[in-house]
Amino acid sequence: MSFLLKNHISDAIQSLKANRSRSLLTVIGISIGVASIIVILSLTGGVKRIITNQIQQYGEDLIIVRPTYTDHAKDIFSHLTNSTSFASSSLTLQDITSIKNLDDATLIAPVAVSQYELLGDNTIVSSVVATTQDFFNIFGLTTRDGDNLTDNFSQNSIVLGSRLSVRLFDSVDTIGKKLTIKGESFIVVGILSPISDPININNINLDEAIFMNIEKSPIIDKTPQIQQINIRAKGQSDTQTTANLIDQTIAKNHKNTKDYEVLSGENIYNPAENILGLISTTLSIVAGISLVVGGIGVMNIMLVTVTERTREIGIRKAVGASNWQIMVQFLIESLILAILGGILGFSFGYLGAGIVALFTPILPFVSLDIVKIAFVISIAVGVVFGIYPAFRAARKKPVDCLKYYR
Amino acid sequence: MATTIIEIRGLNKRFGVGDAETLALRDVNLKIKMGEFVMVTGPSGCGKTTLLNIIGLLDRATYGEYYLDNHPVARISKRKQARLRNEKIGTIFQNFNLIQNMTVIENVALPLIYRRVGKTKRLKIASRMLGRFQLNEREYYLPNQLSGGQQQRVAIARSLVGSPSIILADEPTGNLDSRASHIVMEELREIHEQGNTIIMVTHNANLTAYATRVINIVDGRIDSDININKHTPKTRNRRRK
Repeated sequence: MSFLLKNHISDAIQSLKANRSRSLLTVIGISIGVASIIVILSLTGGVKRIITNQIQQYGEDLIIVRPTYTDHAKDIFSHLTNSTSFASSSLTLQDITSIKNLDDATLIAPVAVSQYELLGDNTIVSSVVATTQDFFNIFGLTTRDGDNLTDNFSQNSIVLGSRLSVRLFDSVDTIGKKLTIKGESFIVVGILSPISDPININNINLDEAIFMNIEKSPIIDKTPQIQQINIRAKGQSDTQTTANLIDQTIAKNHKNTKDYEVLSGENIYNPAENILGLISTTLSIVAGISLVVGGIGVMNIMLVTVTERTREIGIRKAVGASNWQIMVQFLIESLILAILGGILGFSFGYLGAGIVALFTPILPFVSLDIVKIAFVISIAVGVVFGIYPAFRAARKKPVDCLKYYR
Repeated sequence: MATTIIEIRGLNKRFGVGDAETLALRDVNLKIKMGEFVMVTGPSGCGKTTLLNIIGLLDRATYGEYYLDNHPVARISKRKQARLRNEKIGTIFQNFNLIQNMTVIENVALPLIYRRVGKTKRLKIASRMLGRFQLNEREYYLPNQLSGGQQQRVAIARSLVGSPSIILADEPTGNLDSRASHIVMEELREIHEQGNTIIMVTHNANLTAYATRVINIVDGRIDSDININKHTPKTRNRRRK
């Protein structure tokens, strides 16, 4: 087999060279389909890598408690539409106190985000994040001038995101400035360093947010809507054990009603990855259509080739080629077209993803899996769309082929 | 006594269906012995090329028996047919049928590919074969760079390269001028003298001088079967009804 294979390959190359422009156009046709799939997959890979990096950045000992509103199937879409923000949260300050009493959790930061009108030098409506000092420690946030935030974070003091500071007071240096929210006066005690992270922590744009103490702030009511509790696990036991412990503790408070979820490690980012998977699958299907178009191009060209070379088929059969050998010969020709298309498409796709990366924070990431996928796709296209023309070539009767005149 | 290499019994070939149906061959019986140079003659459309195609396993009879080297081949698989074409039959066509984008030597070596002969060995054999026809200098020419006579000699070289049992030639001089025809016929005579069996279809009566046996076909039937060469022993006219 390998002997004839070698011959078929050299025959195919010779034949493709004989029709250079036609072969090139067919190859480009396939490469467009492959390229679009590569762009999608490599960008998705890049986003996934950002998520993984963030897990590493915040450590795997981060635990998050969230209220649950919907069943799992709708979860993806509830994250897309943010519809959960209209529902009332099941988490209470009581839960936080209970968690605090556990030895394994050292840093606890509930998050209750609401929109308020801020009256500084300028009037702006922005997200007010009610939380505890621990929030800054859990996510490793620092101030511009390096002050320790935790000491001053009390009743009427607030911390500003760097960009919000500029928007409110037209300055980055606004410590000590006064700000009125809901008739209460607050003093700016810290300004966060600018954060340039493509993923927002807890869906909050930290540069645009304002932080106040959830327990002491006069404008936060006694039963705040806690959207999330961030916990940093400490101590000897591993994160999962701590998470389980927290789960049991809250269960007790909620009388065993499972209206919350405790997430740790990479589970935290599962919803994001699910959305990502959904989007990339949808896009890949669309890109698959262009691949089919490319494949039809291959089939078309191969049918033309088979017709043009009818006489050659006859001659080859007359000197002893079997139907199978003729079929393999033409199949290899379409496979070579498809594989060349795959290689070109891979290069185009990589280049395309690189261009996209220039305008977004996403770095394209091409794993070995993506290379394999591209290779498998091209081979599949070559076989699927090459088999019919090859079959037609093989089925021709030798005596009819030899009668054929161009 | 020479062995029978081809035996055909009650061979019929039908083309078309219904009103368009024609019988190209009717009840043909034929025995050909090793070492014969058979010329099949007859008017256009009499079925001589059809007979040659069936003998060459390029086409199948509608019904009838065909034994090649004492093996029944009328109903064997296409795959086995291909193998026999490769091993036992060399075919020469009127219009040479060389593959235009292959060099002369590659064309000659083509049958050996399907016998899985390695490239070096293949080209060596092809080159030796071309040498026999004084075409060594043209080995790396493309077919269309050669004259008709030269192309037909390349085709003859290709038909011989696999040392087949029989050589079939369908009007090999039909596209050639008289000079080139003469050269080609001389080559065929030489091949015959070396012991090859040749079956040639022609409607040029002058060429029958080269033959040891002339079969005339009219309307799909063998009209006459004449043994010319006295040297070939006892080639009886075996016609059966």
